[in-house]
Amino acid sequence: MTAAAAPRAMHAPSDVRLYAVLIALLVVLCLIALLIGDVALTPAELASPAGAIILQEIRVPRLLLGLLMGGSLGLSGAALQGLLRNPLAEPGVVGVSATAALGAVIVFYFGIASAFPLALPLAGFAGGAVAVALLYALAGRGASAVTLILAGIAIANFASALTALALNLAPSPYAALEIAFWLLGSLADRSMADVALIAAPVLIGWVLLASTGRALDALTLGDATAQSLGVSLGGLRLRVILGTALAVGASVSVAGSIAFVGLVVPHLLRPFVGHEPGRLLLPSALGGAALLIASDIAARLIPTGTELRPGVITALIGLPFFFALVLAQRRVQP
Amino acid sequence: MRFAAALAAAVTVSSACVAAPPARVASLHLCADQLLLALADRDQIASITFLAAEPTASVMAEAARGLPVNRGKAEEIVSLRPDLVLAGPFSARSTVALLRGLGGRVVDLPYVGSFEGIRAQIAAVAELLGHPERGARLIAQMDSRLAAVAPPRGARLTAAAYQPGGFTARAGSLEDAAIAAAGFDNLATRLDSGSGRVALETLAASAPDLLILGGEADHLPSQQARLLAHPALRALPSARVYVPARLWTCGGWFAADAVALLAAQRAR
Repeated sequence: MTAAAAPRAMHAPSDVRLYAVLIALLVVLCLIALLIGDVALTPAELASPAGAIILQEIRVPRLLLGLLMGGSLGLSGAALQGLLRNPLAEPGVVGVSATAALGAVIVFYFGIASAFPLALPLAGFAGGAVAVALLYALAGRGASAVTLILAGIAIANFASALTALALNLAPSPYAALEIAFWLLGSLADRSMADVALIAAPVLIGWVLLASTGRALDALTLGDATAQSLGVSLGGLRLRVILGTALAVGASVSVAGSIAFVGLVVPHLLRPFVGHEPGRLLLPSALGGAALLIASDIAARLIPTGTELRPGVITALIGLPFFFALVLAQRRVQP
Repeated sequence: MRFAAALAAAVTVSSACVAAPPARVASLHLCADQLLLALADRDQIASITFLAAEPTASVMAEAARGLPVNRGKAEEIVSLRPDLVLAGPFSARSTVALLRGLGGRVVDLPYVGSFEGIRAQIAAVAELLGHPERGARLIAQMDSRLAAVAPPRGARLTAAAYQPGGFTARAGSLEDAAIAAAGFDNLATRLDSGSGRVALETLAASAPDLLILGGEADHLPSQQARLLAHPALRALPSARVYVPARLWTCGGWFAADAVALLAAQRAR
């Protein structure tokens, strides 16, 4: 880890290969996502007027949202794990998604978002920022896995309870039944308006998170060494908190919360980047997008009466990883 | 329909046994409220539900004003000591059982999904209340309304009702019957996979001639209602018509007004 302050080995051959594999995988998944749906359409039929509506107004926005949200979850998972030096940190587990959903629910159901659309991603951002700040205050960095998980559970459950309360108080009779959307997410039937609404906050969040690579690498050497290498710990924290809250908060505000993507993806990719948190960031964004798109494809292909939620699939995939990580932690810290 | 016919028969028998028509009738259900308000003497009505006075839910809101209202709880009804309680398809079964257990006479009005069923139910309730001639008049009024807008023979246009969450008019519903009576082919009965829903993609691909909208909560923000504002739906070339939900949520003479609203779109 002595290379922490050296120029990043981003162009090392193994990284190039990793990027090539991830991008190829993502491209294939994107093509599949555009070709499948409730209506079976051949590529030729997609050019017909009805097919063009389906492609441009339904499938493309769904795919773009999946890319934005999946990338946000993977990237913020990798950054949170680096900052908190804890492989269990993840936007869903630490309660960011739940508080972002609470913020979005309040502005959406009570008509604020209809009057001022940008309020929706902003409320998601505010909710997410409160969760990360609370978590940092409650558990701090380098806290034991148990402390982190306890703080996360407390924040997430409290936020989910308030979300259910807000839905019950909402004027629409449909609201009370929509808790599943906020807890398990959905990319179904979103529109380009949703994509346009969250694109800017998500991309700003990505830039903030991607800029933390060198500081996260330095942090693996300890706080004092990192500071001696010129890393501002306060600045690093602020960038991870703001970046996560912007990227994940905005995504959750239009697609609900989807758990475990930020946990599974960095965990899977870590061995390929020499366990360096800085090199893990961008591959995690690509991997997160790939995992969410794949889960959304599975949600559409598995025949259930009502379409399956992508959060169900990611949870089914994520839980074994979570247990494996908990067991690994027990071995390290009995 | 068969239920309604059986009910009509049962009512005829029982009203032959019960000499006088009930003097105090309470209703536990919006659909029963509206029939009661149209067919009973005003002093025969002991209580109706609060929804009966709600103009978005009830066509009899004007007539309901000033009458005592309930929220479908057994306690409220027992204290009124009615001779007859009318319950509906969505009344809490526990409430109905409790009222029956206390010795009250409770008549269940089943859901009606056809105009034949509506005629039978109006006739049955009118008979029950001791005013069969009012029932016959209401039925005749509905039938003449329906006859006035009856569709010509020949090719039918397609129509699809679309509600928040993608819910539609499934086969056997009153909405389905009204769409058919207005001369349209209900696309949903072909597209629905059994969940009562039609996916947005499926609707966009089938492009019905007429898109039927009009729930009461469609304008309040919810994820399911957002579907109705989706660009893919707006891009459809279909004609659009708004049918207020109160016209066909309950089976009543007013369902003919829903048919008339739909039939007016045939000319376009």
